[in-house]
Amino acid sequence: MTDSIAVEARHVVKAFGQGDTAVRALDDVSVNIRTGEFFTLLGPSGCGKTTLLRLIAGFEMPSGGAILLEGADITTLPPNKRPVNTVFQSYALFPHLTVAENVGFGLQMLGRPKAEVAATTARMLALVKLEALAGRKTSQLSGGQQQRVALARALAPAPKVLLLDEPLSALDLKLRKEMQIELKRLQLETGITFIFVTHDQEEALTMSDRIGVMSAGKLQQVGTPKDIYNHPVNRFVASFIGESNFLPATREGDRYRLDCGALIAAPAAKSARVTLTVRPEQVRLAAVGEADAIPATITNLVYFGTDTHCHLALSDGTEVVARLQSPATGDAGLGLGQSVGLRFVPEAIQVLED
Amino acid sequence: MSPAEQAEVTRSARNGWLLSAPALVVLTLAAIGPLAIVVAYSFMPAGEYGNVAWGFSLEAWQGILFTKDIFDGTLAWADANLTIFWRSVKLSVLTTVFAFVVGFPTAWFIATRPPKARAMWLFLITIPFWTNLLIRTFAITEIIRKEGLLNTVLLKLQIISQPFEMIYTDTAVFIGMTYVYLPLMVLPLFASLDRFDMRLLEAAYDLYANPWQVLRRVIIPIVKPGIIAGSILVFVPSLGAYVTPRLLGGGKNMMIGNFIELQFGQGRNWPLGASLSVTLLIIVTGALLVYVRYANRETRHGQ
Repeated sequence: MTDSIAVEARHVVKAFGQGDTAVRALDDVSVNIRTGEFFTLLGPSGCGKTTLLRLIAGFEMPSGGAILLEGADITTLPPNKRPVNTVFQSYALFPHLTVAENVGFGLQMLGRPKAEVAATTARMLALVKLEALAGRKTSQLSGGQQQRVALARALAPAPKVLLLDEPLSALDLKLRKEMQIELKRLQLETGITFIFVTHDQEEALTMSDRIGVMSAGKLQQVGTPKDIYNHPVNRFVASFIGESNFLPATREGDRYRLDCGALIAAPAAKSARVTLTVRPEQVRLAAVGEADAIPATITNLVYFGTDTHCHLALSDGTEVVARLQSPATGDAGLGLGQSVGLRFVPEAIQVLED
Repeated sequence: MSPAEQAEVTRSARNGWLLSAPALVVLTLAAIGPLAIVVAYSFMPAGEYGNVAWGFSLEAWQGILFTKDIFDGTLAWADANLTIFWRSVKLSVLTTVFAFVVGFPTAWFIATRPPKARAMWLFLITIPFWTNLLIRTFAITEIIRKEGLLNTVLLKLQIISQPFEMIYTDTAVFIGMTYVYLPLMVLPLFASLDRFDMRLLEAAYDLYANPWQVLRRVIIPIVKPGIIAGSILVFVPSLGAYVTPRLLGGGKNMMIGNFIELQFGQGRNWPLGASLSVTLLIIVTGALLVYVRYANRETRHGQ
């Protein structure tokens, strides 16, 4: 991976509709996607992630801003003039062509010699392990196989950037896991920049080099999966990726007083009123009355096999979830209504300024 | 299979035939009966007052391509007949091609409207069927005749200085037939385009196809069944058209349909009319076979 920029979005705005009823699908989005990286646009449906992808592909024109590919402005270029290919959510394979013809379509349209088309097609089919099905019609393939054809078809013209629009959403869980590994392998083997759109946070965390979290047409945070998970910049990111406890607090000097009265040390903030956030796996149970332990009552216990989710209520009613590793005996010795103490792993506390 | 099961199968098969017998009888009589009579007539000599005489004769079949000299009995090519055949085929092919050229964008336009508007546009396409063909053809006459609407407007606008002599020409017949049969092209094309997955356009466009290539390499191959159906629905009735060439072509620009009618009417040569009818049937069947085979080969070639 180099530090050069493959795709740059500059203050991109996309509005659908006119006048007062216009909806801003993208609201001043700027992002740099590096050459050779696996970049994921993550967000709930309607957040604008697919719109941004379609703008990069050229299917939509931005209402404002610019899109650059390797430094060149491609904002007004039609899709067939952009060295960018898309893997569609619906695959959109050509039903009248065979698997091999689908894969070779892009090269054929580029006017490459027949021998080159055939050779590249064969190489791409081998890459996605579909050599045996080259002569089949696409309607005779399973969902997973169609997915591979769509991938091979988009990779065959060796695009500068591959765009993937929720390509795994139609597959069942097992196949999806397989394809996640497969996609990552293809990306490493080809070295092509991947821009992947998904609403599945686990998919994003496991596959991406960097993630851009989107919500309401805005890019909320861009960072590595670890960055995003451990240092979310706002409440949306903290709650959308993984689970989080949110504790309203007031700054008192260099510490924070929770609404239940407990005093906690955490990184400095500007505002007086903040929200502290802690991941459930960073909450520890302690004996009642232990020094620094915050008193709480167990309101619910949910057993997940590998771990148990312990729902706790603080004295002011704030709910905290602790994820406890299940002990070997399977019984943690906890009961509903039991009074316990809880403690947060100090480094795991994040401060969100509201 | 046990004897009881065997008996059950036999009985249900017999019941099936019994139940469908009335329909089969009607179909046989209605479809094959008249056709058989026409074929039989074509092998009989002409009667004196227009009907057929009993006997066997190949004269009617000879009469399709040749004329016999009244005096010395020598055979010569029947140029008039050949002209009529040629005109019929030419006008039908032209009508089919032009109906496609006009009908495809129309069907595309309808298929890309929102569902509600789509129903409205389809409804509008079928409106001409509400009126009798004869009336509609007369209406066209009103438009294209020498003192008609088209010439009047063009003269008033000083686009032309002399009125067009359009009516009673092949062009008039061609315009009339295209108008009459256009819906038969649009409807099957629409049915195909309606099922066409528009996302494929984006996929093709994304894979470097220009708009022309998208049309030729993706849209047309996929909607080919609709194109074939539409072409057949236009070509077959065009070839046998009677009313349109009669009214717009006048007496001179006959097509096969008019020529056949002539034999059964003033010509008083039923056998020739019958042999011409069978010839028309053969031309249509042959054309369809060639067309469908060609269209399918094209598909296989694309594979």
